[in-house]
Amino acid sequence: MIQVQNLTKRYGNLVAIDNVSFRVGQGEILGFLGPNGAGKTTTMRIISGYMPPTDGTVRVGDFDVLEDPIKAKRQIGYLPENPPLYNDMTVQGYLDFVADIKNVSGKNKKAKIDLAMERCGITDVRRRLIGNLSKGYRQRIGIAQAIVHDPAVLVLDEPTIGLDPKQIIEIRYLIKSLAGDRTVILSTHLLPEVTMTCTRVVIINEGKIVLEESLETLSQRVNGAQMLFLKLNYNDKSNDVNEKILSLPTVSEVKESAYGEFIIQTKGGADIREELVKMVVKNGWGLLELRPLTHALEEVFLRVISTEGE
Amino acid sequence: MKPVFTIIRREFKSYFASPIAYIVLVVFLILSGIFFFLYLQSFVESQFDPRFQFLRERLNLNDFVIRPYFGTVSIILLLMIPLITMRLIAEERKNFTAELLFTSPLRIIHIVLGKFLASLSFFGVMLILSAIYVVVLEAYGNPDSGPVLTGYLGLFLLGGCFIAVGLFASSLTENQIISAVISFGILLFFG
Repeated sequence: MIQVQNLTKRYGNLVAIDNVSFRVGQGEILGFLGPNGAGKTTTMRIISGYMPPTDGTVRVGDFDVLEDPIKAKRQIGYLPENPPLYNDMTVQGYLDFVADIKNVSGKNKKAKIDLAMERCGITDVRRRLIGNLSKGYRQRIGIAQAIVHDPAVLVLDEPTIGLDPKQIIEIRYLIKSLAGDRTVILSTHLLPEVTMTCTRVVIINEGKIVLEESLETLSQRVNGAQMLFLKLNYNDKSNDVNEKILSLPTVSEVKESAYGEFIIQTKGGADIREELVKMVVKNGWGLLELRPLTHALEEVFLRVISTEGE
Repeated sequence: MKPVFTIIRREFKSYFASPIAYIVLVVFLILSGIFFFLYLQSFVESQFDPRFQFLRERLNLNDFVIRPYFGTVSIILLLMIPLITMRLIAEERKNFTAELLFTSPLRIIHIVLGKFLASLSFFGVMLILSAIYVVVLEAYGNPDSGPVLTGYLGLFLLGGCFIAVGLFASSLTENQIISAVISFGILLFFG
């Protein structure tokens, strides 16, 4: 549905994104993940046709965004990083305007606006001025604006930013319910968002794609190796804790992340907690904390990004 | 053409959704009213001035009231139109709504034309309201209405030209003050 090929954007000497290529199939929810300033917004702006790339092409459906912008834009619903709202309009008036500029025909217009308002839960504020509404409502109006013309492709730039936890959950459900046969690209720097809503993930860092994988294979790969977090209070100056833990049969890697804190990786998901505790007790290291690391994607994310930096 | 009307409607409404439209209208009417009054007053006084007694045939409303009035109004417009055009595009950028407009299936010409025509219509409202002075002249005097109408046409076209410059200046920046200053600069330099 969306094909991004060799996309490059330079601002003078600064390379915002560098030779980025990926595809999104129909019905997929693609999580576009990266730290702040990685080039997420730039990529999304180019896909939505807001700015031209320095190099490369973007196809949405059957149309090239650069060569056939009007037809391509007709299929895209775009929520920018900051929702594009006119503070002096009412919610309904605003959506009416958006429907007009997006060629929603007169007959269906009212029904489509009502549907968009209902899905985003803003029907009860329809007559209020946008300028007087809270951030959560503004974000939802932004999403309503993106879906009002029933586009085949949704491009959402950090849709949950600035919302409270309850609203974040609501918006995630909303995005999932919107997906259906639509194609969604969603950018975020929050990992749980990707695990909860997306079917595929692209991780971008410093303008380059560092990982592109479906969430299924990603979680399989991550589960293959179980990780434990171990925190000790020990006065052992000999510093052989690392080696002693490594001497356990199924341990593949031990990393001391801070003084007395270890991240232990095991082969094939073997559970070594019991043996580990016995060893800790035997050596009198003083166990403070032992837990499995469940934020698997987070680990991948950090690893991918930090290796890229080195 | 339909998208142009959509833009015009929104722009035009937004003038009246904020105090800008009312303040501009009031200030414009007060200023032009004062100048109209002053020209009319000096015309009436000169009727009784003995120095003009042999020229009384040559004294007429068109030359002594309407012509200087249009001249002064064009200078007032030069100062006021940048203030009604400065927000046109600069504000869209500041509020991020430019991203909505430029990612919608609109052509740039629809947006620009829509904004230009919306400002022009607002300017038309200003002119129509100021026509009260001409009505006063028609009621109590007998000005030649041909020059009055062409004078208005001239003002309308002049205003359109100022608006075009203001719209251009507004597209250069996202700061409304910079936009207004640039249009003042261009208008004063060439005007």
